[in-house]
Amino acid sequence: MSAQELLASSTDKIRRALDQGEVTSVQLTEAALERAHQTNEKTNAFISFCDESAIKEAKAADERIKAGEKNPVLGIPIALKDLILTHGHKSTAASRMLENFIPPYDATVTAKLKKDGAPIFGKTNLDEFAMGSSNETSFFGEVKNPWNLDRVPGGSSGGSAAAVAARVSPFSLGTDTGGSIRQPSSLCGITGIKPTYGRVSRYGVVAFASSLDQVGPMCSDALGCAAVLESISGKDVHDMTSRELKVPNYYENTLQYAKKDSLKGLRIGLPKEFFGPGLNEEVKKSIENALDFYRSEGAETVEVDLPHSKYSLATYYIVCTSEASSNLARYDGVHYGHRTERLTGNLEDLYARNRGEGFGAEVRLRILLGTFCLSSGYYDAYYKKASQVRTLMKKDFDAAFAKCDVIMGPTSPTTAFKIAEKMDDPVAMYLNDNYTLSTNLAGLPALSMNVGFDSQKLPIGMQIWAPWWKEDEILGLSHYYQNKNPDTVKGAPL
Amino acid sequence: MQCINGLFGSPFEGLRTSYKANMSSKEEVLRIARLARIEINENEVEEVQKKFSSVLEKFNSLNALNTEGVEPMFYSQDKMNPRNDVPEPAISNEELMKNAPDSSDGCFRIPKVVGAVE
Repeated sequence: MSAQELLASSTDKIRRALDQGEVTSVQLTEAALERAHQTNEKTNAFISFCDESAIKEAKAADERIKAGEKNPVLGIPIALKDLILTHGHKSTAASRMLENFIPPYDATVTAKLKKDGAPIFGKTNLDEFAMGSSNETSFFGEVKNPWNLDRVPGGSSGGSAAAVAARVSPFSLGTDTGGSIRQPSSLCGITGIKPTYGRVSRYGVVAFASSLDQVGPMCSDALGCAAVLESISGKDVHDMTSRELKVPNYYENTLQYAKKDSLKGLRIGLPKEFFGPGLNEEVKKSIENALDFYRSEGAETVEVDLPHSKYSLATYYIVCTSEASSNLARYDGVHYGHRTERLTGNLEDLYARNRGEGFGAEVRLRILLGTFCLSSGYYDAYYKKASQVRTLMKKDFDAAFAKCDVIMGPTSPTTAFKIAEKMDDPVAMYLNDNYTLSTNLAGLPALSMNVGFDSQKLPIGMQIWAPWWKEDEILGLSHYYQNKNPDTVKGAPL
Repeated sequence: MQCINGLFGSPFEGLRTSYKANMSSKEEVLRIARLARIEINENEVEEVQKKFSSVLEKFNSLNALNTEGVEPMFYSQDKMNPRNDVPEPAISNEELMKNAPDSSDGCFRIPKVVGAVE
């Protein structure tokens, strides 16, 4: 198999080929860079490339592999969402505000991947400051879905999703605040997981909503996600919300899960709110087929109730815009970032112009909404109220998980929609995240994987949620499914 | 405020209704923009106001929920784990100045500040 063909195959095959010396990390990384450059004109998945440093890192990885080192991500090229800081390499958050920003340090997840020897070869495109569900708000232009270039890849991690869907590389990192790993994974037919809040450090990741943000893998398959998650997880002194918990051997555990004889005893919860109106019929059918598979393997399904889920849109957008208005207050064009050329006026004018020019329309809108929700006279009615609803949602999950081990349901109400279709109506755009928001509000781990295609050959994703800290269960179940349904794991014909 | 809610219905409700008319007015949007230190051009205000008010309408759906006595949850974690407050080597001044739009002698330089910031 050529390096390019290997990159388009399963994580398992790539790992074995590297460890057995059939391919080198340099070959894989060169192939990834070549395909990245080649496809970028069509997809715009990448904002920048790390050609030189990636090859250096790949060479070092090859030495380590030759010396017999065993590590799930060692030598496999990976792309990082451009929200994640890479020391010495431009990191923009897809915003004019940080257009030329060169970070003086690595994010913790970047440092961990470097330590584990995964060559970082490019920075992927995203919705500006991670605010969006279609990757149409990027200052560097929209990303196109490799399955159909007239369609969106989803967002905000649209670039990472598109890169993996086009099999530029099997591994990438995204971030998920309200569904930004899972929804683009669903629309692009790949596998992505948002870990439990606190599993992965947020240090060096441009903050959007600090109580919701999580970094996570977006890969061609669940095993890939397991490998990357194992590398990036763990307590970090620089992030006090990261938990002191031993990181499981996700890769090995996930591999073992597929060897189970049956899934007898597994109880899968199906939230009745997620299978009602608003869900596209073809999407529903594919989900039902996937559930039938799990039933045929011995699992039982049980209806669960998430009564407060209908408030998740309002709750999420109040919380995330409030937190964003605070997090983005640091961008004032004084110490770094965009500075206006209109320099007359006072300090307030300077700030207003730097920020007015530096931020795109959606970012400005969300800062305004958040500022409003936190402003005097409104704090109780909005931010505090939404935070109380979060408690009620968490209680819904506590009750649901008393009846089941995992919860499954659709990721997105539809498959990939057309570019520009929803740009004028913010609420219509926000509804794309309806099935993903509540897990961020509660801090639960959640994965999306491909379970089929619609009549337009567009991918359909399904979510698997588990109780806090049970990423093992999710990854195992996803790998189990993919092992027996290999047709669902394929790259776009680009 | 909460016990008054129980007896007479929320006085805030009345307040909120009269605020609703103003909440997404042009003046309100500009007031918020000033608080947020973000410039909005004249030709953009209407567009922003339209989007602002349609999202706010959605936010108001939470009014239907009774959350009396419910503890707010600001983080899904119940405990934070701060590190010990011990100084450690940090990034050098030189490195940190590299992204400054304008600097001089190791200091950030901005236009002369004239007039009060309100």
